[in-house]
Amino acid sequence: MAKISFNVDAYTARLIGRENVSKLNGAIIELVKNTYDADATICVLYYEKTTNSLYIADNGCGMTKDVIIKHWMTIGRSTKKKQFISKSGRVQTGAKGIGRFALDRISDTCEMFTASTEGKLIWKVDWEDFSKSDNITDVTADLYEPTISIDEFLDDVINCEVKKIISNNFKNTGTIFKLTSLRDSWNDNVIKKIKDDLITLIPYEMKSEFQVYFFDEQNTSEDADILDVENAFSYDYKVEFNVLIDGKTYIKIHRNEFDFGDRFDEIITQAEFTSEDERYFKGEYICIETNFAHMLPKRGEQLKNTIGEFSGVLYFEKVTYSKTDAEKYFYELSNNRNNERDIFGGIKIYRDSFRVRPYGEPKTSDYDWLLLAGRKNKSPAAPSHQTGAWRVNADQIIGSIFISRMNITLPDQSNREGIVETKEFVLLKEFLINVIQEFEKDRQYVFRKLDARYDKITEASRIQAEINKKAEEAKAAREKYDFLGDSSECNQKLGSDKSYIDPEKAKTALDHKDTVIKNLEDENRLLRTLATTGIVTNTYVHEIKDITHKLSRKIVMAKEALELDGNLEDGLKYLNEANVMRESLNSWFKVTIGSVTRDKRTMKKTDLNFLISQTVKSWKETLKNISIDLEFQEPEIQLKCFPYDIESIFSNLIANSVSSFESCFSDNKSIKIVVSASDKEIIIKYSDSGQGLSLAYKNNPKKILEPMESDRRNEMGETIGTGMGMWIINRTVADYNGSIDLSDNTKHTSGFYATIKLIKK
Amino acid sequence: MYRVGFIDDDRDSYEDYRVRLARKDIELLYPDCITEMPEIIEWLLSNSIKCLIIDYKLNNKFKFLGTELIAYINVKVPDLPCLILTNYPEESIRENLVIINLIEDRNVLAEDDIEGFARKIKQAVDVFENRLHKYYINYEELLKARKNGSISAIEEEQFIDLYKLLRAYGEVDDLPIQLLSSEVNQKIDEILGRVNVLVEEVENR
Repeated sequence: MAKISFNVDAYTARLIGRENVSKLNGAIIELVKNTYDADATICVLYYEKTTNSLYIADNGCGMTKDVIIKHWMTIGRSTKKKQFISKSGRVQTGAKGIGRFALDRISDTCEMFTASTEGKLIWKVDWEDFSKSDNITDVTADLYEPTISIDEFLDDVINCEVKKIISNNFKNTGTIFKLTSLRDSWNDNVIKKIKDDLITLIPYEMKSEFQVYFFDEQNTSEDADILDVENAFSYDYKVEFNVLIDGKTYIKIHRNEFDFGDRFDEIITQAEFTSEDERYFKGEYICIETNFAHMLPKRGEQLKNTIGEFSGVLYFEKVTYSKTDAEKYFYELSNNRNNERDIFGGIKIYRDSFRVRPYGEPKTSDYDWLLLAGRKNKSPAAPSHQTGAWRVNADQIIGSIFISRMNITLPDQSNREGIVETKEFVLLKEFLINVIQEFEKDRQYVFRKLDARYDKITEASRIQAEINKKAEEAKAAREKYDFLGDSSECNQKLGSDKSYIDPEKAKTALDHKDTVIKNLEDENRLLRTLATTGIVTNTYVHEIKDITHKLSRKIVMAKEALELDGNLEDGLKYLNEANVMRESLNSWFKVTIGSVTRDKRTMKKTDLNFLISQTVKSWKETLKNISIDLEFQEPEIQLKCFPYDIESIFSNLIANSVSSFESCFSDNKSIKIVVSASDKEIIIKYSDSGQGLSLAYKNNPKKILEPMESDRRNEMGETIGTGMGMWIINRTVADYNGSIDLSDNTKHTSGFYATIKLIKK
Repeated sequence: MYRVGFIDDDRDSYEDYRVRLARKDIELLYPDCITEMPEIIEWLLSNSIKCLIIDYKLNNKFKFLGTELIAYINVKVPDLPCLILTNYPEESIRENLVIINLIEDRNVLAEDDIEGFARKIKQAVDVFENRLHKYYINYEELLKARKNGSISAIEEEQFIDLYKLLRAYGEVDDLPIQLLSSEVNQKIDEILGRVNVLVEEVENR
């Protein structure tokens, strides 16, 4: 039986390629991308009207004969599939090998001059041959070693500037495509569109690494430089920062995301934006003048800028958005952004204008070297969320950080694969996160205002009120007719207009929704308590480990006293000591997992004196060296509540106090709790003798109530707190329509102070 | 018995460890009423302690961490083996002040068999004693070279370093370091020479 191999019709192969590159702009961008992948530092596009031809030149690594035959001319195969990193370390982004189809899309014929380390080659193809041949294997291209140089290849070029720039920048290797019989009509509009796409694709700051020129027959290098316009790059927010050697820090934030258009004044008023905001929306930069230590408040006020002078630019842009959001938040829309941008993405570091790899390299683990994705996962709140902290995602931010050889505390690794993880590099990363946080705060401020405006003006609340009113009226009417015994008139009246929904039915639907929300709130409450259990366990994991160690040790001691020494008295002594440890361990279980028992998960009238006393008692059993002074100013205080909510508040507060005691050497470890009540509210005054809030929160203690904000650090200054404890307290107190006052913390140098008010239901 | 010091803010652990290690021929010593680093140095030298076991978190009694204490001891008493015994091994490792091999999880001392741990301590003491001995031989050779004036500048530096170590361990007499430098010695020789001349002159009168 004969074996017949498959073949592909040449024209079909060409059509498949065209599916990938259907637009002229896409084809050009694909080829520019290829030049970047080829390690080029310069890419020259030249359109010659007289000859209707296009040149695309780059000073990259060029192609060898082997690469042209095995990869370039084998459809569907790309060198980049396996070899992701270019010789100079760039991560190659193309993988489908569609560059050659991009050429086909642009012109009928193509001539390529390429110079690699192995020599020069010319490759010529006429794409029309694909239409003429039946089988793809019948289509051929010319490939030969030329005798001419790069300069000679460009002999016919009219614009001398093109020859000059290529001659100056193309040393030994590079590739030039000469595309003739262009398929499109290259009028001014087409050229402008291509230039605009390239401008918005590549950030200005990349100029030091990769330059793109677009020449026509007349223009000079200066005119042809695509990246000469600093703010042409499309973005939603831009953050520039500059840190001087003495620590002075200047941050500039540009809000470019919103466009209120003709309704500018109306929106500003409705959303209650300030006069400064008005200027910021009109393009003025938000300027923050601060210093290095203040940017890293958790490191203490004495922190010196040991990094030296450095600066940077960060750009934020949304990857996707919904139409509703675009209308609600007045997004300024740009058509020029496209997903090709991930070639240049990430936050990159430059030392004296040279890239320090691999930071920010797309599609590698080093892309997100500031671990923004993890930060986002921990705090997934939307920017409009009223209490949650919105965090930017790693794929939404790109930028450049500029350092120099003068930054000696940021030395290169000996293998040149990044910067040594010095203390200063850790500081730099923390600094950048805090700069990003400044922009996040601003964006969230705008979103919250716009969201509140939307809620205020939206018809939803009006409709809801109307439904409620009509439902009441309908019910009253039904009852009246029922009372009179004439239901037919009522039904006739109520059902007279079938196009309207029966308000009573609508009310039922709304009630159902309320029930769903209530269930979700209950679930949320339980999750908060479970989170508290997790926080407490996490806080005391070392202590629990210590107790288990002591327990095992005492048992071993008892065993050895009996087995090896035959000393019954000592054996008993050790067992008694083990018993104390066992009790201690039990008390830990009480304060950690005891809070989620079913009886505490029911809303009921609760004797607060008893509940708080029991909670404090459990903690006292656990914390033997800490005095907890509890005072009730009324003999009996009642509150309708979920008992575990109250326990959760105290567990989080006490856990924080214990962490504070642990972080410093102190003989006085005391907690004071005073509970009082009035007709309307319960007042809990809580204070401890710990070291108090750190500088980062001292002047603005309310900040500690936000999610992911933690003051708990280990000896190395790393945040080890979950940043959830105070947020949980805040949320719980909010459920009781209460408030937390932390202002006393600003008046004292040490100790933590909180006054919590819960409104009686 | 191997004499080993133990620094912890919890004396109760010391009592248990002392009993268990004594069965392995290790005498564990605890510095009561000492809270400062220089006092600890004084205590360990006066008790000829040749290995120290230190807890990582000491904040119930001391104002420093175990790893900070080790860094201090390493300067004052070079080569003295110091082990961190802790419930927080991961933190001690991440702090990068003490090498990983010298960080022990406390649970080793709550295990049924502590033979491995005891062997490690004893070997550390043996290593330290051997080093002291070798250093002493080196020191004597350099002292000889110094006396006959054939010592090089690098050797002189080595000589002073060795002196510091051996002096810390009471293996050589205590002298101010400056007196060990050749320059100072030459100057002393010069002064003594002049004094001799003066004495002769006085005698001749």
